[in-house]
Amino acid sequence: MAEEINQLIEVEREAEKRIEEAKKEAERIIEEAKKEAERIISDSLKVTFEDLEAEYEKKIEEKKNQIKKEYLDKAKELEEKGKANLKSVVDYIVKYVMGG
Amino acid sequence: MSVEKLREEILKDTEKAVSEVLSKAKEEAERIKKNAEEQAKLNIENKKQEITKKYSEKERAELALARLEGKKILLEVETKLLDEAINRAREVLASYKRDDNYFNVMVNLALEAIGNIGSNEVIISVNKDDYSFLERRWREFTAQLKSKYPDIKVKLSKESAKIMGGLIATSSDGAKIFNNSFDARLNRVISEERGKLASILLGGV
Repeated sequence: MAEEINQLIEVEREAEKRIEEAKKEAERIIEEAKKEAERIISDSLKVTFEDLEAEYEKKIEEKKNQIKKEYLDKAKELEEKGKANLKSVVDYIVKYVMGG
Repeated sequence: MSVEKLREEILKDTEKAVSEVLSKAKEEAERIKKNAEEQAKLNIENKKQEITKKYSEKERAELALARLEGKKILLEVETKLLDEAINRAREVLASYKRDDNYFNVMVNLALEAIGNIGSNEVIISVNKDDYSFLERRWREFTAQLKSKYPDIKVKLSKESAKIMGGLIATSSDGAKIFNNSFDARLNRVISEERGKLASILLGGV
């Protein structure tokens, strides 16, 4: 009988040990998960959008060039128109100055 | 209950407890990782939105600047053309033939000046060429002024004014001056009529 009780005590001890080990394993699993979580968040903060930024830069540059071209075309048109109408401006000034 | 049975029972309960502990830990680990992934996703999305906002502002500022520079180019062309027109007008005015038309211009400029001064005694200053021109036709000149201002007394200053043409009228007491020289009128047309000149330049009128 005593031997049987001892056997049971031994089984209980083994069981407790097994559960303790399982708890440690559980802690390890959670710690590992926390480390993984930190890494995931840290990586997310390091993410760069170089391609997206380059795309935006390119788009802005294209629009700027388009505007510049539009104004240069307008300037050319203005110069041509202005040269054609220069005499009328001179006539207006002369007329104004001479009291016309 | 036999010892063997008890032993089996204990082992069974232990395995159940172990399984529960590990299962809960795995669930917790999954939850932690899932939260981290969601946070990471949010971080990335926020950063993307930040970049989009930054470039949207940059685009607005740079395009506004590009338009401003474009307008500056147009203004420079317009100014260059107006300067050219003003210089040509100056040449025309400076070399204007002293003829009957010019005489009428001088009469009209004098009448305008007298009207502005509001005095019955006026001294008129002109340049050297116009002095000779007006002196020759002085009687006719004053007659035309008197037709509008019968009481007017006009003197032609012997001191020549350094002007392109036109005249400067001064009340005899020197209190009032009306500069109706071509130079002053040219400055007036430049400062007051720039919009109109630009409009003509662009073919608007």
